[in-house]
Amino acid sequence: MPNTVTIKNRLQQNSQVIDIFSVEDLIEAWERTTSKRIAHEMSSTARVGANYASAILDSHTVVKMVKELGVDGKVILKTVKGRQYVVFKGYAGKRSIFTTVRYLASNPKVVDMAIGKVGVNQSIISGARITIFLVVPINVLNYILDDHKTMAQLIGETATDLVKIGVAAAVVSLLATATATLTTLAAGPLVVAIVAGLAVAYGLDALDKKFGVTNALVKALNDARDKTIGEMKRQFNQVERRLKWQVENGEPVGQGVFY
Amino acid sequence: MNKITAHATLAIADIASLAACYYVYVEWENLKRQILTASDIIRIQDGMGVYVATLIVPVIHMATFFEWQRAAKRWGNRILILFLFLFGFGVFTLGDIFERKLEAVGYRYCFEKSEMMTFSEFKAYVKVGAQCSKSE
Repeated sequence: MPNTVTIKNRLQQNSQVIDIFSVEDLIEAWERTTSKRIAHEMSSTARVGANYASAILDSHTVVKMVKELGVDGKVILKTVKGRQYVVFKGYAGKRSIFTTVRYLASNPKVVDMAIGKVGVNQSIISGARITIFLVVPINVLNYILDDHKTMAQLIGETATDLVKIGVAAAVVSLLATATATLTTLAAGPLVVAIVAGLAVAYGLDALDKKFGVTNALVKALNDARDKTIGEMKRQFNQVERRLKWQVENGEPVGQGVFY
Repeated sequence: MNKITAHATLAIADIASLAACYYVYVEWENLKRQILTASDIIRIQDGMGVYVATLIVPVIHMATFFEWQRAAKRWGNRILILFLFLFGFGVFTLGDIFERKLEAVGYRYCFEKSEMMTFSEFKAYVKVGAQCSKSE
């Protein structure tokens, strides 16, 4: 009996824990603890944030507009002698920014507040520009940080991202212009632009995922690279091997290749 | 843009908005079906509330038809204010509702299997205890 206790004690003192990992799990566990992984997660979050950047800026403009004109603040677009004007309804004395009744549609105050077709379109363009400025560097950062990313993926993803931003901006611009044509509600076109902008962007993502557009583009780029540069490399290797073989076997070098 | 073209454009947007809401409904039903069949992994687009919020487009479009009537205009504005609140609620809470439903039935968010697209994330949820790694 004492022997059993001794053996048990000795086993407990010398106990060791062995964890068995697959190679992939081990690499993943290593990646998870490195700054690379943390930076990758941060860039992923920043990518989603980039989408909301323009929406947040536009929402801030809507809040400013509501403060200035009220939720039901109204404007009428009038063209006089070929020049478009924005006419504000209500008492000008109650307003702090738009202190007169009529402004040119291209007036900086009107454009800044995204009122009228010119103002809303200007806001959409600057929103698209901000998104591009954020999304493209994030793609490059992801490419640098992620060891598995290829140049074809970087080019393919960036290309589809730019197309998506362009399509979303065009659709939103069309909807905002249509709303500005029909309604006198000052905030209407910008609210439509914010909501439609986000929804179109999300919709394009969903369509991309469903039909695999980005993946198809990346595959096409990879194939194109393989058929051109890849094929050239293979031909060079073949020639190099043949020349080496000819040198090693004392045959005329270059015979059958160059002459 | 003339008024007829504007109405036609917004009519298409109205239909697209309804289709977007139907898409959310279909996704919700898919989610319930996958929970019932105890799928190992469930993928769902984050921020689905944005699609529901597009209902503001038909609301604004309808409001333009009645702008000449004072009473309708007043009610239109009230509906618009209510809708802005719903928009905020939908955008910020619908995703949470989806997530809570999944967590309540024993799923957890898995970053490794989630896919980041240009504007949104397709979140992956795996069963608690199941492995969450890219290699699988």
